[in-house]
Parts: sequence; C-alpha cells; structure tokens
Amino acid sequence: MEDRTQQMGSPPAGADPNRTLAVGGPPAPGFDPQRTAMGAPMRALELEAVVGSRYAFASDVTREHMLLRLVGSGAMLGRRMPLNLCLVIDRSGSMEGEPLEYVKRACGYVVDLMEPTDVLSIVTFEEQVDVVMPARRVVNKALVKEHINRIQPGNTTNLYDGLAAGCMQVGTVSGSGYLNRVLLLTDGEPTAGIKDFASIVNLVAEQKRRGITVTALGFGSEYNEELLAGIARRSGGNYYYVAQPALIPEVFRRELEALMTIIAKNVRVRLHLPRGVQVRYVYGVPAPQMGPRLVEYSLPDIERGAQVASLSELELDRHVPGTYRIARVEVAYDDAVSGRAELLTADAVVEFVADPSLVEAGRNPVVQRELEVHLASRNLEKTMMGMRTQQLTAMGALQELQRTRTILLQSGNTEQAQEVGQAIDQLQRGGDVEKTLIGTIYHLDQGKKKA
Amino acid sequence: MSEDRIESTQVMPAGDRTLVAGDAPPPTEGAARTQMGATVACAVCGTGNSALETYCAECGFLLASSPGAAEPAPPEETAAPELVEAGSGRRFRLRGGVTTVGREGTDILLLDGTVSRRHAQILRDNGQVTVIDLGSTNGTQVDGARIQPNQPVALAPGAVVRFGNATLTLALPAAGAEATIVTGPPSDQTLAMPSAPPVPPAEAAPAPAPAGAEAQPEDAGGVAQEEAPVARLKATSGPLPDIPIRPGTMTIGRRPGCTVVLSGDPYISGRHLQIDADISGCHLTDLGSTNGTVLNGQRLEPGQRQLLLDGDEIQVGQGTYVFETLEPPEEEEAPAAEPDPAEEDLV
Repeated sequence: MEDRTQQMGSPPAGADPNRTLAVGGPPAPGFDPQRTAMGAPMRALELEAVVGSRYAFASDVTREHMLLRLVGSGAMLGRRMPLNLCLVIDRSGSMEGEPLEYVKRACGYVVDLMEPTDVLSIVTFEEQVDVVMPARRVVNKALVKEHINRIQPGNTTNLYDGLAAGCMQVGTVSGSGYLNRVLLLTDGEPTAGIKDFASIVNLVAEQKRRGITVTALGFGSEYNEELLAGIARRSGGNYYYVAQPALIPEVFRRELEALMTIIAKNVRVRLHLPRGVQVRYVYGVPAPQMGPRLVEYSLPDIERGAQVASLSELELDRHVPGTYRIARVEVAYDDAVSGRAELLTADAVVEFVADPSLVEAGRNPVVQRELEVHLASRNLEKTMMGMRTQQLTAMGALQELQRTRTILLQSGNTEQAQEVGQAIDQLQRGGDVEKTLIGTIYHLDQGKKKA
Repeated sequence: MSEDRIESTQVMPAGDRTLVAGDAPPPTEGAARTQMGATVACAVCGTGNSALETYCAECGFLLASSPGAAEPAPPEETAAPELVEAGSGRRFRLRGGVTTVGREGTDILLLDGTVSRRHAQILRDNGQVTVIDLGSTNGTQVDGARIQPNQPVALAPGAVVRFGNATLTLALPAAGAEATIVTGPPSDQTLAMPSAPPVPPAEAAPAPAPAGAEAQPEDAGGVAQEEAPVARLKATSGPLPDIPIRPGTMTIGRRPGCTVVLSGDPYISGRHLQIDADISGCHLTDLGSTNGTVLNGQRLEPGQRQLLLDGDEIQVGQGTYVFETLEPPEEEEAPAAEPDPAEEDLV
C-alpha cells in the first residue's frame, strides 16, 4: 500500500465522488503518475434499474419483474487493491501422486504472481490441519516455494477444519484495504471432522459477514459438487470444476487474474419500497433480508469489464392511476482501487394505467431475456435432478440441454452456453455432467457476464 | 394545474415561521413561489413531502403530476385479512378464495428452506379463514399444535401459524372496515380552494396515521364491528350528509380505503383527516391535507390532535359540519365530550 497515492481527507469541496470530474480537475483517487490517465476518470460502476414494462395495470394486484444492471467500467485507473489470499489445499490420500504435484505447481504460480504488497498464507488439511505458511507478505518467494514442495499426502479429509484455519489466517490481517479470499481445493467428500452441509455452509456465511469470500475448486470426479457449489454460492465466491490435474494450475491463475481485476467489492443492494409494493423473490441470492419496506442483499465482487444483473419479482397493489416510483434502489460498494465507499442510486419508475393492454405494449425485452436466463437455470437444475433420479432418460436430458443452450446463446451468455455444450458432449460420450452443470447453474444465478 | 395546488399551502406570513438552518428566507407578502423546506402534499396518499422530492416518500407517486381516476376497490379487498410474517413484518393480504403458501411459485412466497415448495393453502370465505396443510415435509402448526395434512383448520384472529420455521399471524381488519362511500359526482385530484386560509406558522408535523397498504383501513385495535355511533359530524352545508363517529379510529378522505370515503368534493384530500373516539373524547387530526381542516375558524396544524366539543364547527373541503355527541346506549363505553373537557389535551 506504500506505493499508492493516498487520498487525504475528503474530496475537494463540491466534488461528488459519483460524478465524473471534468478533465483538468483534481486527480482521481488512486491516480498513478506512472500511468497515462485516459481522459476524465470514470466511475467504477454504473447502475441502471429497469422494470419489465413501462406500464402496470392499476385496478388489480399484479406482478412484475425489476432488473438492476451493474456495469463495471472497462478501465482500471490506479493500482489494484492488495490481496489477502489463503490457499487451503486438500492433501488427503487420494491426492497422492499427480494431483498433489500439480497443486504444488499451481501454488508456485500463485507465489510468482503475488506482489510485495499482497499477503499470502497456505494451509493444508487431511485429518489434521497444517499451516504451511502463516499470513505474511511474500518477500522470499524461493523460500515459500520450498515449503510448498514439502507438502506430503496424508489420510482422510477434514474439510471443515481446513476451511476454518484458512479463514482464520485471512482474518489475522485487519483493515478493509485488502481483497480477502480463501481458495479451497479438494478432490473428495469430507470424511473427518464436521462433515454436514449445513455446518460447513454456516461457517462460510459467518466468514462472509467478516468480509472473507471463499472460492471453491473441485478436482476430479469424486468430490461433492453440491457442497462446493453451496460453499461458493453462500460466500459469493467462484466455483470451478477441474477434471484433470494438469488443469489445476491454469484454474488457479484464472482465479488470481479475476481477483486482481476486481474493481468493486462488498457490493450491497438496498431496495426501498413504497407502500403497495412488495418483493416476492430475488433471483440468485441465497439469503436476502426482507422487511416490509426494505429488502437488502449482497452481490458478488465485480471485475473490470464485467456486469452483474440482479432480477427480482415484485407484487404491485392496486394504485390510483399515475406515475410512481416503485422502488428506490441503492447500491453501496467499496471501490477496490481507491478503497473508498461509494453509493449509487436509481429509481424504478412505472406508470399505472386503467388499460391492461398497455402493459404488454410497454414490455422491455431486456428484462424478459434476463428472466429467461434464470428460468433456464432452474431448468438445468430440474434436468440434473431428473437424471439423478433417473426420471429423465439420456435422450430427454440431451433435448433439455440443447434447448437451454439455445436460450443462453440468444441472451448473450456465451460462456455458459459453451459449458452446456461441453456437458452435451460429455453426456453423449456417457460421461458425468453434474459437476459441470452445477457450476453453470451457479454462474447463471450469479447473473455475471462480460460487458 | 398542479402549480396551483402546491401554491395554496405555501403562502405564509413572513417572520412567524421558525427558520431551520438551510431554509430559504421567508417570502415577502404575496409571493407565490414554492420555497425550500416547505412540504408538498401527495395527491394520492396525502403524505407531506419535502419540496425537494420528486416522488412521494410514502407511496412513490410522481409529485409534480396529476393522478387519474381510481376505480373503487371491491369491498372484499378493503376488508381483507392479512398474514403478518414474524421478524420481517411483511404482510400478505388474503384475497377471497384460495391462497397458496410455499417456497416456489405460490401466492405467498416464504423464502425458508424448511417451507415446502407447495406447503399449504389458505381458504378465505368472506370472514372465515381456514388453513390446509398439503402434506408438507415439516408440517404446519396452528397456535403451537401441529395440524393433520389435508384437513382444513379454522383460523381465529390472532392465530399463529407456522409453516416449517416460518411464523405468521392472522390479522383481521379493524372496526368499521366497510368503506362508507358517500356518493357525489366523481373527481380526481384535490383542487386548491382559492380562499384557503394560510397554514399556521409552524413546521408541519408528519401524519400520525399508521402506515399500511394502500387500501387498508386504519387499525383501531380490535374493536367490535357495527357499534352504535357515539357522536356525529352533522352537515350544515355542502353536498354531503352526516358522518357518524363510532368508537375507534376512523379516517375521512376522498380515496377508497378511508373509513369514510367522501367522493363528491374535489377539495377534500385523499386522506384528509382522522378522528379518534374513545373514553377521553373525540379527537380530530388533520392528516396533512391540501386545503386543511378548519375548526371554529382556525386552520388546524397537520398532525396535531384536537379535542372536539359539542357545537364545534368543522370545515372540510366544501362542507361544514357541527360536532355533536349522541345519546349513549347502555354500554360502558363513555360517550365523547363530557361537560368538562380533558384539560391536558388542549394545545
């Protein structure tokens, strides 16, 4: 952090941190004199609130969808926020041989990518937990790699204690100026310590409240994908499925790259509702806080060039015809470059009319498409469930997957469409697609895609 | 036009009003501009809003626009019972017929893992409310006792229903819930009366009326229905008839959802005033109406409770009324206005 130009005190008088400053004004926070600034500094995030239709029927209780779009700017002006990363590595018996070798290589890559301002810790678990490297700045990279190379395979899998130890390491670094992340890699089911889904997910939820996010990497074909996806989902972190050990280093690198390009963290949405409007459901969010007039929930960290779509279903009471703001939206986040807390606001506005046919005429196709993506995700879930319980034949499953892939292509979710394509191939070769699909479902629910 | 409506509340005698830091200086005599710090009454719900707001803070209405003509709500909806969720306080209105309860795709969506996708059904047949568990995983409890699946169980007002871990309470609408619609020619927005007396020089207090869903009548706290009136507002002029006053709280205004709906007079606001009748007497409170409520020639401060005495003259919109207590029936409920009014209630 010593390298960054810190913004002292409050912004210049009259400057609104949310508004674009005119060229020639004071330098933006995080301004790095070594880099050529691109014209006027930009806001890290832009917020837009869109309702499913411009119109709503005034004389009855109706339902409508509301879409929030958060777009991350394409540029990152200034240095990235330093990382506070813990690698939590499964070294149970099944990892012996190639898997563990590739993991060590992957850890080596991470060490190489870290900068002097980043903090790294490494924890391994089998039945017992070992702190290979307690949280500290990476100064002597060679020494760290030496410790990594000494990791040996062990016995059973005590995932809970490993995860808890990793979070504790990350927790030893105080202050909000870091991007906290625990990277968990496992190839199996928890077989020792606390093993049940609820306790593990609760641990993760608790850590999230402390600002620590967990990314889960599942390796091989034996791990519990429900558990790992559940961890990622509750935490707001990422989920990866690695089929072959040789791919482990690449996935580590991808996660690190994503971390290093995060521009907004700790993203929280607050929907302020007027009388006569209720939120029935928020898509893709595990535990929204619902009150009679206020709904709050978190969104995942946003990387440079990414966008997050947050969809919710509202119930609208009868209204006297007229134009109303049906939700006052606030999105609070921490700018990962400047470290400053920012607040975006938007109004979702609808005109209540006596003529019901206007509602269809005023439809916004963007909201409809986003809804279809979520429905596609639910469909994938049902397909997976159907295959698991064998209520769906392989043929039936293939048809469903084809359909879903088409929907995803049409809505611009190309990454997930590709994943479904891979699952189709796998299925046709008689392979197991659940580990891929559960990741696809999670990614769709997160609502993230490249802008 | 809307500017006229706003202006009628803004003309104030200079110098009488206590300035708050940041306020614009009071206008000179005859100035008609809306000044900062003053309030704008919402044309739909009557709530006072800061003039800086674009949308009403209570109902979201675009303040600078005019509302259209509203269709009156069917009586079954204005008197609908509600299930109130513990913790979140969310209210789910029970319409006539079947309301499904569950975790997915149901009328009442409870986002709790212990609630089954299709957990239960609520049947509302006029005043009667029953619940049926649809064979849910974690069951349904009524007042602590688990009920059998597929067997309807009646719910009394105040009953606590648990679907899995989700707890809800049945709340019935309060006394005098039927909207007494006094008919007259239909009108939409509240018009400004050219001769409206100026607002008394003080900050407008927020309306004390409890917030609730738009078409919900006020909650008078469990008073029985159909009680005899203890007093009335006897109409002495204007197109509208007498207004009976029953024990409890009643709202009077132009919008459906008020206890007494006066729909003929465009100078009456959507929610104009409130009358509380109990053993301490009848008290009138202006709810921040556009043209105000005038008691014995004095325009009342919004939000300030005022005790009513026999013979008091009240002007609401184009109508004038005289407050009159009525002969009580043999009940213990004391009528309003004993010869000696409660001293502490006088402002």
